[in-house]
Amino acid sequence: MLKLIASRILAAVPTLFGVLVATFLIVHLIPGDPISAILGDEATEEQIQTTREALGLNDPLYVQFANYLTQVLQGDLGTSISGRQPVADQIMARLPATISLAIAGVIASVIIGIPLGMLAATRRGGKTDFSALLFTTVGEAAPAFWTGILLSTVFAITLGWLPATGAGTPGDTWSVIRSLILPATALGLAGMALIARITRSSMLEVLNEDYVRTARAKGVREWVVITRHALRNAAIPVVTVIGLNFGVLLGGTVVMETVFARPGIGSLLVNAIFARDYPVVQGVTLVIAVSFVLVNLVTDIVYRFLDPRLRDEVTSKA
Amino acid sequence: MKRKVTTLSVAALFIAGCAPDPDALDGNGANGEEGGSGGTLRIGQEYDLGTLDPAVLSAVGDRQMTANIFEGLLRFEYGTLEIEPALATAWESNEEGTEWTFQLREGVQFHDGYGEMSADDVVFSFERVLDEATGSPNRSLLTTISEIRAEDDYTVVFEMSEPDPSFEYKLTDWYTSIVSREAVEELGDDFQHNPIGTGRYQFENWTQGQETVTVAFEDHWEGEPNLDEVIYRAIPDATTRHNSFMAGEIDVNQVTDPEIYAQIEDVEGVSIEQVPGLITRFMGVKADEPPFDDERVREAISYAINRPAMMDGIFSGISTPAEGILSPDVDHALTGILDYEYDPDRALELLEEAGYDDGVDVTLTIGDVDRFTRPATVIQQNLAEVGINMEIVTVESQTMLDQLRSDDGLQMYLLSRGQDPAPDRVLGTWFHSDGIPSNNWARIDDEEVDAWLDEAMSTMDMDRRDELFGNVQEYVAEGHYLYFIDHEDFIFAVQDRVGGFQSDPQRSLRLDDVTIQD
Repeated sequence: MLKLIASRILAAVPTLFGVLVATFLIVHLIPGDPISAILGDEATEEQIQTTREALGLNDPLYVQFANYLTQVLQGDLGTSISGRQPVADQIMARLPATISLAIAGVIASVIIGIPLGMLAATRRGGKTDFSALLFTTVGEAAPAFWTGILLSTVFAITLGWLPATGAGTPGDTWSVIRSLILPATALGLAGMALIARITRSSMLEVLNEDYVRTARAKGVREWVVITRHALRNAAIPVVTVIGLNFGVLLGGTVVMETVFARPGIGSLLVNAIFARDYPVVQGVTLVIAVSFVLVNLVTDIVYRFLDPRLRDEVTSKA
Repeated sequence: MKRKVTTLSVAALFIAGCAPDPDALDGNGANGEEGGSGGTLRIGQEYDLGTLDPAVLSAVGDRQMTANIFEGLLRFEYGTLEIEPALATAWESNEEGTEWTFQLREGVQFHDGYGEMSADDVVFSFERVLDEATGSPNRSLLTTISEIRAEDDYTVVFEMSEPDPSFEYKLTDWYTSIVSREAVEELGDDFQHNPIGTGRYQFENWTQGQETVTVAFEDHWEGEPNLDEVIYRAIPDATTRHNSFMAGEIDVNQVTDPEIYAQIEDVEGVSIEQVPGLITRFMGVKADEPPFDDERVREAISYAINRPAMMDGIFSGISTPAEGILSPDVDHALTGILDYEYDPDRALELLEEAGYDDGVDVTLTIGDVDRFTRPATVIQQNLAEVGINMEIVTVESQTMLDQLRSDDGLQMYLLSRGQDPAPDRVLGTWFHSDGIPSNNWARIDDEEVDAWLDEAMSTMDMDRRDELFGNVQEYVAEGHYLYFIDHEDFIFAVQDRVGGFQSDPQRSLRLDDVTIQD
């Protein structure tokens, strides 16, 4: 297992390098530079040149990249151009808000998605199945920002039950949780569709297996058959989807953080793109890429716990 | 600019400054009340705090926060553009404008126990901006200062290498705020997130991406401030900010979107504070290339655009039609010079004379926001009626600025640009040949214009400045280089629990008289 983890981490190195190069090129090649964002539209030629020089933007691109790479390898993500602060500090300050939202989003999508999928599978072809299909299709089709605004309009502005914006008062758990409910639900609704559908199809497959028939024939209660015998075996593709979904949700947090004004790395990234704050864009992208790699690794490991065949495969190879 | 007579000025010297009735500036609270109403004011901001160091900041949001944390030698009377004393009580310059002497207010305290402000702090604050190591983006605006010295604890003298007629205005700007020398030296880089000034509200804390909190500075020289606490909440998205305002989570929100404006207009419990801003929306052309190197084509566009219809149709209620290049509140602004009579037949004639009777293809580039796409569409229709086929290219706003500033420039552009209370920077960089390509996007390259501007920007004779700046404004209007549309209003939605809030032409967000009534 350790060997597997080590090889996966090694395999991630070229991926991350690729991300570094691609992000660097994209942010530097799109038109515009941070000068207009810093100096506003009234800057004089002299101000522009002085600032460009001070930021090292007059160096050739490969020199800028070499400088950046050296920095990153030393664990330094650079300093924000507009915020004049270390990028790592900015990311660390905002990471908790994003991670908590992504996790809450996953939880919401699992809580809604898996029971819905199970229900649809066991009532195959009936009204419940159809309603579940309709619900998931609408949930998936509705853009998360729209669902977010809708939820905010109803529950924050009209009813006033939950906050419309922010991440709650730090240290006040209840206010932090309250501020998570709406964005996590909006995220979860977008993510649950895939989970529900995979659960349904995977369950349908498993429900026809011999061991399920055997279990039923033994007189095991239906509820136990579904949860103990069927769900456990149907879980592998579902876990894959949850893992993949986590990445998608991490992306979705960018939108939710904008709609609900949450101080996470998603909103940090969006603002940095508009301000052409290169070091921040690069730093946040790198962090997102690293978390993607980590989530995939964790997904791989979880598989092996769920499916003994894969576990044996690794052991025999080793 | 209104000038009052000072009791302290020496008759032999040219009187440039003033001191109002000292009683008005003493005592308790800005509006003469005993203490304050207390309470917390929550302001929705588009951007999170970047830096609060006045020497280096430039973002509008940072400026608005520092407006209540720091003070300069001079300031504008609350809600207006009338200069009044702040940390200086009186000031004067010699006739040539090469030496300025400022008397400082006594007993002004810095936040957090950093002691009394003295002439040494003033000298330090200016030298810091002028020091290239500080990296101030506004350094070049102060380079006419050759020497600053403290004559005694409460007197500061500025020697100028050449006269700067807009010097007083610059002393109201954020980058000339007075900082505590001791705090800057002690805190170093941390000063930007632990700013020590003399303003009504002192910095308390910053939760990244979320909010910046300032609290009442009880030892302020004008007495205890009205509010206990001011919170600036960072909500970048306009719709989200509006939702937050409607949910009662913020008390003040700047509105720029016409649709949001329409939504709040009739909402109970909300008032709208609105003034024409120091900003002009206009369309411009690049006049050194065909077809716009021909003055007749440029003039034809003036006749082709139906501006009254555009104003009624899109900007009704949220902006003021432009009568000149500069917002009327700007010193030396010439109004009533733009003859925007709508006459498509005359436009057709002019185009025919210029040899474009078969029509002409042009391209307009704009930023991707409603306030530009809407007028652009109207102009496109107007121009099509006279045979000008205008393609609209929409790009992200930053990108557009960079394209404008490139050597190639843009054939046609439509945007809004902010102005100062003094016209020097705007007229001096938009129309002087030195401003090509960074700010002179019309590419006006005329020695006569350069000469007018050079003289106007270095004479202390206000009548002469009026005449010279007037020449420039007329030249641009009569040459049809730019098509001025309107001055956008700065609009703030304010909850009724807030009293005394004023929008001003610079959207400074100063909170001098603001109270909370709960």
